[in-house]
Amino acid sequence: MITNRWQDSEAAAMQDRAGNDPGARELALRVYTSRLIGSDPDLVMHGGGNTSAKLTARDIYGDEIDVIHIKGSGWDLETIEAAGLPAVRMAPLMRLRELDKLSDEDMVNVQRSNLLDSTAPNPSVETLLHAYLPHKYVDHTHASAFLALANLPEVEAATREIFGDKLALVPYVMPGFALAKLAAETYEAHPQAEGLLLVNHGHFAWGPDAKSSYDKIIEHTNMVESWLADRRPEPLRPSAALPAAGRAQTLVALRGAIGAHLTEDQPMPVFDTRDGAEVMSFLERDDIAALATRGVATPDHVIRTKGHPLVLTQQDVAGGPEAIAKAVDGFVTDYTAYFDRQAPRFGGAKTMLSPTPNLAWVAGLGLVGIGADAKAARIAADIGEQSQRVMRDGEACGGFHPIGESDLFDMEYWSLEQAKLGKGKRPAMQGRVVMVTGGAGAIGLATAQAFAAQGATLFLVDRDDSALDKAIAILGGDHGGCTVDITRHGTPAEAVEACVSRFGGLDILVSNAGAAMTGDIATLPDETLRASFELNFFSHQAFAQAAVAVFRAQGRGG
Amino acid sequence: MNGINADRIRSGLLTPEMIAARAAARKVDEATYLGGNLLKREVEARHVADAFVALAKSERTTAHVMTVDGGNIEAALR
Repeated sequence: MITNRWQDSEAAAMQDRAGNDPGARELALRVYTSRLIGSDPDLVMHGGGNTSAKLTARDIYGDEIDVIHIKGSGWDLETIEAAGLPAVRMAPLMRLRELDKLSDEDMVNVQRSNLLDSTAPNPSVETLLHAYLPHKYVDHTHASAFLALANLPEVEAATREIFGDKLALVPYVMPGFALAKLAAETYEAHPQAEGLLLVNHGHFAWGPDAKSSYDKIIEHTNMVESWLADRRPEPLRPSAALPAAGRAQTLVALRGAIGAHLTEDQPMPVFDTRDGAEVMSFLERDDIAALATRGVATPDHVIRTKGHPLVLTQQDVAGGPEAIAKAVDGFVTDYTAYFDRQAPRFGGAKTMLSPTPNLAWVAGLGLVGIGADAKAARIAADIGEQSQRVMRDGEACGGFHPIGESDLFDMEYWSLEQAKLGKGKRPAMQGRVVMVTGGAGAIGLATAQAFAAQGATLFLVDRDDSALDKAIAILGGDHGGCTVDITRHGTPAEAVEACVSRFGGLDILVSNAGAAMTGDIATLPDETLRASFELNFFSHQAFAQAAVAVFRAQGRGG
Repeated sequence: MNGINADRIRSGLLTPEMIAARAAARKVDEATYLGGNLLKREVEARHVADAFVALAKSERTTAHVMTVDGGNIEAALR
């Protein structure tokens, strides 16, 4: 169930921080409930969903004009600020409704050129949908519960059962002008509705003020949550997970198998593995192969996870690198065939994206998010976990049947959706997993920072727990590490294994850990000299051997 | 596989106590000690870090050792 997190004191504090201007104080409440929605991953995650408010603003001449404040691209609801909800003039947006057709590029252009602040980020692609609903505050989520409902074959009957006529259904249409008009027409045909269910997509609710709209979001979502909970099956008991060594080997083999489909100048992916109870229980299902072919819980997800996960069965895992490579080859073949089937509709205008997976379901191991860097992998894994919950609930209530292949392709290769990924020249060290031993020390941390600044993913090894925690905090972002005394036998190999477990592989080893021990040659104790060799020589050799083993297994690195 | 040959960096290896002792042994102040190289500039951890990144990007360089010490001709590798 979703908690309603509104607190009068917090709302008042947000308003006071915004100052005395009434417009700023009103916008502060729009920011407040946007953040409340954004703080719950079961409502929205990673840029999904959007919020708006229809207010007034004064232009440069002092005239009061109607504007809509709408989430701008590149902002996450969880951390949104007033600048992330730029004002767009309402009148030109409303006039667009007279048109029969409007291309995406023209729509973006009209939205962009009617920003009050021309330096503001692009208004959401769903701006018109918000504008055409007559309510002052409009909120839109991809709540897990609603995704389960929205992808049921009998979605209409189920929605009526839960909501009566409080929610109106909008059949699936890709976000943009056509969906905005359809949603508005649907509402106008159902003026008693408190919200909309967009089939295969998500939920809209609204209200005259920030709190009432947010309350509806929570109330509606929880109505679906309890309906699903009543029908949710008992979780399957997971069988034994792979032991640690087998796990590392499987991840490296998977990374290597993907790497085999990349050219030398294309970076390897980074992994984020999830193996919590829910994931392991899901992977015990006997319909995994079928569910893997269904698609994504909401179209937005295709950009992060592709349309389908790679499935590695128990046999694949047991078959080692060869079997895993074969499975990846199969994925690449299938993806390329999907592209070849769908791309002709665009007459050669589309270039195929990388055909390798961004999500994997691995028997006995878990769910693996696969991305260009650790952050992308984390996002893919978060969405992958949510999708499993949505599939579980949907299948228990009639079935999980999201948008089909051609709609999926339209979304995946949509220029506006591609823009959400913020393409530009990629950082030089992106995709490289870099281990720094002695990573919490002066040179180690400086080295880690230098690599991180170029986009690398860092794994720090140090013997000092608190120094390591501080170092990782200084690095920020999605980096990792482990505390270990590398002079103890076997620990270098364990550290490398921990790195593989965390990120899927290793590309660069900076063997930096060391210390200077001094003494007179005549009286130097034997233990001191041996300790110096253990730290400054033998541990480096052990790290090198463990690293080389990974480089060989993944087919790249060093 | 490449290496960095660094010298005289303030760190867990060259501690404040060692810096004080070595400066005293050479009868110079600490700043002079730390700048005791051809470039007469202290070598910092970030200079070593940048060298590690540069070597990592040098895709056709291996079995190489790069020195980061501000220039110390008496200790140059041969």
